[in-house]
Amino acid sequence: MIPRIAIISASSQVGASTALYLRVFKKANLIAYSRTAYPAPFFDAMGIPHRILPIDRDAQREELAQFDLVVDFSVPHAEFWENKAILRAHLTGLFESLRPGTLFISMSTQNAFGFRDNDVFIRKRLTDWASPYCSLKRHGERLARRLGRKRRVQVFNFRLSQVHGFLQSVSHRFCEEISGSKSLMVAGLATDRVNTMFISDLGEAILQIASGQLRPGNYSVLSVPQWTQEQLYRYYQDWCRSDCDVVFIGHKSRSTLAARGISHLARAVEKHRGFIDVAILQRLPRIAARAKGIHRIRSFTRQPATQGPVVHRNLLGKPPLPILGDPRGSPTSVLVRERRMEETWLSALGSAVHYSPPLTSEA
Amino acid sequence: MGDRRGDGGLSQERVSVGVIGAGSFAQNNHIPCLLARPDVELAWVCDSNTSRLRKIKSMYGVEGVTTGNLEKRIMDADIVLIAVPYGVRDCYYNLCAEHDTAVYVEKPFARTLTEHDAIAALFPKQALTIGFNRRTYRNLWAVKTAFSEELFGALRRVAIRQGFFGLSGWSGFRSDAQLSGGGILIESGIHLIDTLIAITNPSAVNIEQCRMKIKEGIDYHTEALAVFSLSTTTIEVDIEISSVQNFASGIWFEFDRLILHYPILPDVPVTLRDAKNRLQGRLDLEVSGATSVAESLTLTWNDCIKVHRMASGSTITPADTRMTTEVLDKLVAEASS
Repeated sequence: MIPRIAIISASSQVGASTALYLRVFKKANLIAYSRTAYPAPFFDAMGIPHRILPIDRDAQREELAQFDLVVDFSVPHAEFWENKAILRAHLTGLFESLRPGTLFISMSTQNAFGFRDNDVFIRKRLTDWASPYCSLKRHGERLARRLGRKRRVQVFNFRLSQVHGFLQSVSHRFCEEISGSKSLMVAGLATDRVNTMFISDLGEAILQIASGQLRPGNYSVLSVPQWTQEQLYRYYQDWCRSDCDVVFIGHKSRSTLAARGISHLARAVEKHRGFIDVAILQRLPRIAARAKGIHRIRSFTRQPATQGPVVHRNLLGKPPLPILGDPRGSPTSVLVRERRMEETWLSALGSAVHYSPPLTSEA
Repeated sequence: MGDRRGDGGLSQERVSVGVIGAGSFAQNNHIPCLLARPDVELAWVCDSNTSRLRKIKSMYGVEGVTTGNLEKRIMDADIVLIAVPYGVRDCYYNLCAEHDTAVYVEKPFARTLTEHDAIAALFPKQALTIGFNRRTYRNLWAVKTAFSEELFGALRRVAIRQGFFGLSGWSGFRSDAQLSGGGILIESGIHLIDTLIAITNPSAVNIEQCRMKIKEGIDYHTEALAVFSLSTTTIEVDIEISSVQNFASGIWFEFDRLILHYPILPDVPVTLRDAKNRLQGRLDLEVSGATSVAESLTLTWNDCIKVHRMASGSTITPADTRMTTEVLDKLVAEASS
C-alpha cells in the first residue's frame, strides 16, 4: 500500500528534494506544506499537492489527521540563543495536532553526535558543547521523544549525514570545484568512508519507517553501504563530465611548524567556543547579543584573510547509531536516479540551462 | 546628538546617520559597518518591530525609535539608510527629501525606468546613494581593466549566470511581490547585470528574447538574450538567473584569446579558463577594491559620507545605475510580450 505522507517545511532544500524523489518514483501519496506560497511553483510544476500549514490548531489537526506519516524538516533560523524557544513552540504545536498512532520523523543532523568542525573522523561526545547547532538538534530530539510519549506518537529522529543531490548546495559546491579545476586535493585516503548520503537514501529511509518495519528511536541516515571518498569524487567526475584530477593527500600533516602552531592555537580557542556558546551564552541572551554585536563590528575592521590552496575535507568514519539508507544505492544507480530526477524537474520547469559553464565546449 | 562613545567632542565632526529598517542585512552588515567608523555617529535605528529594536539595543547599544516619531529624527540626521523592503519606501523617500536629508538606499531601487527617474528627481544629484556595493569589488575593477585595455583581445560574448536552488519564503516577505519588488532577478540577479554594465558601460541594451517562470509578480527563473551596444561594437549577452535550479554561476567573458570567469564571491579570484572551462590561471592585476562584502560596504559608505562632508567625489547615484533599471524593465516587458 502506498503510504500517505505529510512533508512539513517542504520548502527546505532537503524537504523539496525528498518530495521530488517520492513523486518521481511514485513511492508515496504526499502533500507538501510550507509557511508561505513562495515554493508553490516548484510543487505545482511537479504535480505535488502544496498547502500552507494552517496556524489554527483545530484546522492543523484536521489537516494532518489524514496521514500515516508526518515528516518534519523545520529548522529555526533565528539567533542561536533564540532558536530553542522557537523550536519548542513549533514542536509543541505540531504534536498537539497529531493524532495518536501517527508516525513522526524529525530531521536531525549528524552534528548531534557532538563532533567538532576540526574532527577528521566522526565522534560522539556526551556534552552538547560542540556547537549551538548540536545543542539545538539534541534538544529537538529529546523534545520530540518526550512529546511523542505524551501524545502516543511514534517518533523517529533521523541524524542526516551531509546531504547530496542535484538541488543541494553541497552538490553545487562540489560541481563548481570539480568542473572548474584541473586538479583537486582531498584530505584522507581514497578508501576512507565518508559521511554522505543522497536524497534516495533519505527517501528510502522514510519509506522503511512508513512500512512499520522499525522501532521508534534515533537513526543515522547515510549511503548504504557507506561510500568511500574515491566513490564520492568519481561520482561527481561522472555527474559533471569532468576530467579533474583528484588527489588524496592522506592524513599526514604537511604544514610547517609555524602553521601547526597557529593551527594548534586556533584549535584550542575553537575547542572552548562551543562550550562558551552553549553553556554560557545560550543561557544569557543579553550577553550573547552584545557579544555578537562586538564580533560583527570587529569584522568590519579586520583585513580579509588571503586564500591558500584549497584542500577538500570530508567527515570520515562510521557513525555510532543504526544506519538507514537505500540498500540499492550504488554510485551507478544513484547517478541514474539523480539524472532522471533532474531531467524531470528541468522538463517541468521548461529550463534550457544545464549545469555546465556557458561559452565552453562543455556547454 | 549625544556623545555616545565619549570621545571628547569628536562627535561634532561626525556625520549623523539614522537607519530605517533593521532586517537581517542591516543588522549584520550596515549597522556594525557604521559603528566601526570613527567618522559616523549612528544616532538611531527605526523599525516597526519592537522586539527587533530591543535586539539591536542589546547587540549594539543603539537607540531604537518607532515609526511614530521618525520625522523629527530624520530632520536631525545627515544621512538616512533606507533598508526597509522595496514596497514600503515611498513615505521615507518623501520625508527625507522634504528635510534635505541625504539617503543611502539598499537595492532593489526601482522596477521601472519611470519609477527610477521619479525617485531620483526627489533628491539633488549626489544626495542619493544606491546600494550596488558590488561596484567596489576589486574583481570588477580587474575585469574592467582587462576589457578596456583589451589585454586578451576584443570582447566577443558574455554570459551572466546565477543558479542557486532555494524555495524559502523568508517569513512571507519573499512571496509578496508588492513588498519585495519581484523575485530572484531584482533580489540578487540584478547585481550581476549591474556589474556587467559597470564593466562595459554600454550606450544601449536591447533584449532580443526573454522567458521567465513567473507567478504573482515573482520571477523564479529567467533565460534571456540581450545585446549590449559598446563604443565600437555590439555583443550578445546570455542571461540565466534562477532560484529553482543550481548551475555554474558568475559572469563569463569570452575574449579573442581566452575566457575570463568573474565569480560571485569577492574573495574568489577572477580566473582564466580554456574552452573546457578548466582553470588556466588567475587574473592578477594591480587594481584596488573590495575583496569582501564587509569591505565593499565600507567603501560604498566612504563615498557616500565623503560626498556629504566635502561636497566632492562621487557616490553610486541613480544616474550611474539607470541602465541597470532599464535592463530589468526591458526583461520584464519582453517576458510579458
